[in-house]
Amino acid sequence: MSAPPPALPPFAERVRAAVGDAHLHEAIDRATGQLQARRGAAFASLEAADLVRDHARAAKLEVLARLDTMLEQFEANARANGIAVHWARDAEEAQRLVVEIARAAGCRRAVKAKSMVTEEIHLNAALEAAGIRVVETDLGEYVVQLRADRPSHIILPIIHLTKEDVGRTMEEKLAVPYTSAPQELCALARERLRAEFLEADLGISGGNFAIVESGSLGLVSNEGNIRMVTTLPRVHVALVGIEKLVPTLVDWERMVQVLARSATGQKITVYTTLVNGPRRVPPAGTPAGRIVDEGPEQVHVILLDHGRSATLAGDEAEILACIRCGACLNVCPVFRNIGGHAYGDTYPGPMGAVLTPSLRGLPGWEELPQASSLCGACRDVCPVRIDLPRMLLSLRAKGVERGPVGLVPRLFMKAYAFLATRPRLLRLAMKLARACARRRARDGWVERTPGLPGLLRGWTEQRDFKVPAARTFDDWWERRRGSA
Amino acid sequence: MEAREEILGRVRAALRTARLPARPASLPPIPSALEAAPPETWRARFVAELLALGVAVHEATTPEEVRELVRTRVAGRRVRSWARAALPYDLGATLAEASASLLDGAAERAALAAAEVGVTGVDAAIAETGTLALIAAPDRPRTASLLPQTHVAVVRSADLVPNLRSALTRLRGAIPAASALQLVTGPSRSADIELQLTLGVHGPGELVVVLGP
Repeated sequence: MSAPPPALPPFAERVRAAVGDAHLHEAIDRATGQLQARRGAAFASLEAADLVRDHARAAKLEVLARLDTMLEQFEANARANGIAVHWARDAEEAQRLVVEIARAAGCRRAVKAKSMVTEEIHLNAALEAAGIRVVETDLGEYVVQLRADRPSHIILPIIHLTKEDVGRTMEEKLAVPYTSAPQELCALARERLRAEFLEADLGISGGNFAIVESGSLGLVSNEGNIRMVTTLPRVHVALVGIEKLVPTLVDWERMVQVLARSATGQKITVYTTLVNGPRRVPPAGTPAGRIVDEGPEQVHVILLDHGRSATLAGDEAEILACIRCGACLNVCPVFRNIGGHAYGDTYPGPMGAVLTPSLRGLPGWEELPQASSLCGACRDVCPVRIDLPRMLLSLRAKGVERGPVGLVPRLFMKAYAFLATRPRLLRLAMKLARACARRRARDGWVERTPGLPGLLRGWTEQRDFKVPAARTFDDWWERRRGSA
Repeated sequence: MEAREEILGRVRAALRTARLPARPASLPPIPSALEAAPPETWRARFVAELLALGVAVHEATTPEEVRELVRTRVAGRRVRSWARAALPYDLGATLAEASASLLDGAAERAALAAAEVGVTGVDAAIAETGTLALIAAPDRPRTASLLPQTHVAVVRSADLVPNLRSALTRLRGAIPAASALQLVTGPSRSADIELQLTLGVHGPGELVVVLGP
C-alpha cells in the first residue's frame, strides 16, 4: 500500500484552497448542474430504467461473488481469442509489464486512451523513464498532459478549467494563436494528435468492461480516440482492474444502457467498442491485397489487483461494483464545492472517498470519508445502486477505531454520554443551550459573528446555526397529554 | 504465473470474508416496447434518432437511387471503403467510377490518412438509438469509418433491428469470429471544454446515412 505522496498538503488545507477558488466554483457549477439535468432526461428515455439498473447491479455482484472463477474463465476465453493475459499484483508490477511488452515489440511511441487505472498506477512517468514517448489523446487528458496537471473528474478531466484556460494552454504549449472557441481548440488537438496516431506503435487503454463469456474488452468513447488507439498501433495493451469483469454479452448490453446515461446523459456513447483480439490472420493462399483486417498484431490485457483483493475482503467490497460513470461526483454537495483535486488521488467524489482508502489503505486517507454530508444523493444516482453512505460510515468507524481521536472530541463524547443517560440533566442542559443560542441569534440564525461560544465556535465559522425552536417536542407533548 | 496464483489466492481468501450485498434470486426480464412494435415503426425511429444526433439522412426507394446518392458524396474525392463484396447495392462499381481514388483493400498508412470519405455498409442498424453496428473483418476495414472526415454508411431496410439486444442476437454468429465489433452513434464529438458540443474530434466530423430499400 502506498502512502499519499509527501508533497500533498493536508486535506484541510486542500479543501480550504478549493473552497476559496471562485474560478473553480464557476467551472464546476456550470458542468455538474448541466450533467445532472442531462442524466435525468437520459434515464427518462430508458424503458423500465429501474429494472435495467437492477440487472446491471446483479451482474456486477455476481462477478464479485465468484471473482476467482470469473477471472480464470475470462483469462481462458481471452487467450482463446489470441489475447495475451498478464497479472499485476501492484502498480510497480503493472508498470514493469507494460515496459517489457513495449521493449519486446520494439515500441517507442505510445498513444493513450483516457484511463483512470493508468492514472492510478502513474503509468506515464514509468513509460517516460523507460524512454517511451507517451501522448494522451482524449481532448481533456491532452490538455491535462500539456499543463502537467491532474484530471479533476473521472469523466470530464478538465471540468476545473474554462475555455480561456484551455486556449491559453494551447497558445503557450503548442505555439499557436490564442483562441477560446471550443471548436477551434478541438480542431487544433485533432491535427496534432492525428499525426501521433499515425506514427505510434503502441496503444494503451483501460477497459470499461471485460466480458467473461466472450473473452473480450468493452470500451467506450465519444471522440474516437479509443478506436484509434485500439486500431492503428501494432501493439495494444489494456490495463484492467480485476473488478471490471461482467459475465456475459447480455450483461455488457445492460452496462452500455446505463453507463453513458449516467456519465454524460447520452443514450449510448458515439463509439462503443468490443475488442475480441488481434487482427485476424487470413487463411493461407489469400491474395495479399485482400488482407485488410485492420487492428493490432498483438493485444495484451493486464489484470491489475493493486488493493482490489484486499478491498474485496472487507466491509467496502461493494465499491468494486463501481463502473466509473461519475454520476455520484456531479450530485455530491462536497464535490461541487471542492472539486476533484482536493481529494488528493485519482478518484474523487463519493466513490473516490470510499475507493481511495480501500485501495491504498486507510492511513493517510482517514479524512476522505469525512468529506460527505451523508445526504445519500450518490446512492440515488448510482446506476448499480452502490450504498456509498453505508461505506462512508464504515470507513469513518474504522478511522475512529484506529484512533487516536483528539482530546476535544473525546471529552465531548464523554460529556454527551453522561448527559444523554440522565434525562433530567439533559433537559436542563438543552434549556440552557437554547437560551444561550437564542441570545446570540439574529432572525432565527446564529451567524459567524457573534457565533456560538467556546468550543462550538468552529460550527459557526463555516455555516450558520439554526436557532432551536422556542418549545421542545417534550414540552409540547407533555402539555398536549395534559390537556387531553 | 507467480502473480496470477497470488492474486487468485488473495481473491479466494477475500471471498471467505467478503460482505457483499445479497443478490436478488431472479429478476423479471427487461421489456421492450420497440421490440414488440411492428418492424415498420423501426425505420421512423431510426431516422428520428439519427437526425437528433446531427446525422445527415438520405432515404432512397431503389438501389439506383442509393447509388446516385452515394455518387454525389464521393465524386472526385479520395475514398476509403469496405471491399466490393461486402458493400450493399453493388456500390463497388459506383465508387470505382466516381471517386478520385479508391482504397478498398490493404493500403499504405499515408494513403489511408489522406482519404476524404469513408464508405461502408452496416451489419445491423439499431433503431432505438440510431446506432450502426460494424463488424471488423478482412473485407470490412475499420479505418473506413474512422479516418476520413466524412463517413457515409449505407443501410438496407433489412439491416434494421429494434435495439442493441436484438442486434447482438442477430450478430451472435459473426461477433466471435471478428477481431472487433464497433457501434457508431453519430459523428465524433467531445464536451470536454465547458461541456460545449464540438464535432469531429478524432473520428469523422460528418456522418451520412443513406437508407435504402
